[in-house]
Amino acid sequence: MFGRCRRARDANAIVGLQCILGLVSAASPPSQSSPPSAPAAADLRLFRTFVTDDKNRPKIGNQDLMLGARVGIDIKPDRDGMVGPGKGGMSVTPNDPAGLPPHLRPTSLTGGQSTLPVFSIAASKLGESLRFQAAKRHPERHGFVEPSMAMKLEAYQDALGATALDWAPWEAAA
Amino acid sequence: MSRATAKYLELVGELRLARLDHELRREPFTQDEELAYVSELDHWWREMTGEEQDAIERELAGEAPDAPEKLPAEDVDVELGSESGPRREAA
Repeated sequence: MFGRCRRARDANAIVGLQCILGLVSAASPPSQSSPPSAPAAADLRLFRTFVTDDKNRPKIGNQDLMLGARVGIDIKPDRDGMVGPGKGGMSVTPNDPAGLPPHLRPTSLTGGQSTLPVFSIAASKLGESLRFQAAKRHPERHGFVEPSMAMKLEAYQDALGATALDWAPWEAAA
Repeated sequence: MSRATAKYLELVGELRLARLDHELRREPFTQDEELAYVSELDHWWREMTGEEQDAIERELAGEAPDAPEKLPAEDVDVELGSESGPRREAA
């Protein structure tokens, strides 16, 4: 509690003081033992490991580690080919890339085994067709970019692909 | 250890070796080559329970694993010169 407050205080004196007084909770990177934080959706950063295209941007598609959802794994359309909120979507990790699964986490981070690039996007950049939804299991480190409303699977995949330019490469701090 | 956990750790070892092999041969380890491992690792990761995933996290982070809840052995007194072990199977 106070460690988080100290970090918050270093960044912003008022927030730090409010934190100590219990008026706000300090935003802090998630750890596997800490409960999920709930920052404002607009501030939330989402991380994902991608394979990249020839311009070093996330590769758009519906296969593993592409910018898109794997049909039948990440999302299951109904008989009419519709998808909707609350039924999964493309996996992401909120807040901190340290929460990525080990095989997708950069080797520069503890326990990480991956040399594939990690990208991040602000949840506010997802657009109206998409939304972030924390997973029920391990919400502090797993969530989905899912459809924000009922739509055709193709429209959902297109909406994901349309975010390609908003994903920024993540690099470990020196 | 579950099959998923064992397979995951085995694949992590294979991925490290493959990467090292490429490094020694001064050849790039391409995204496609890594993706082949990652896809399978991802499959086994999703097969695991939350507890199994946590155990993997600890192991890869170099932390000591949790002691088993039920210890399979218990300490017993031994006499000087005795050939019996200082532990026996727990009842």
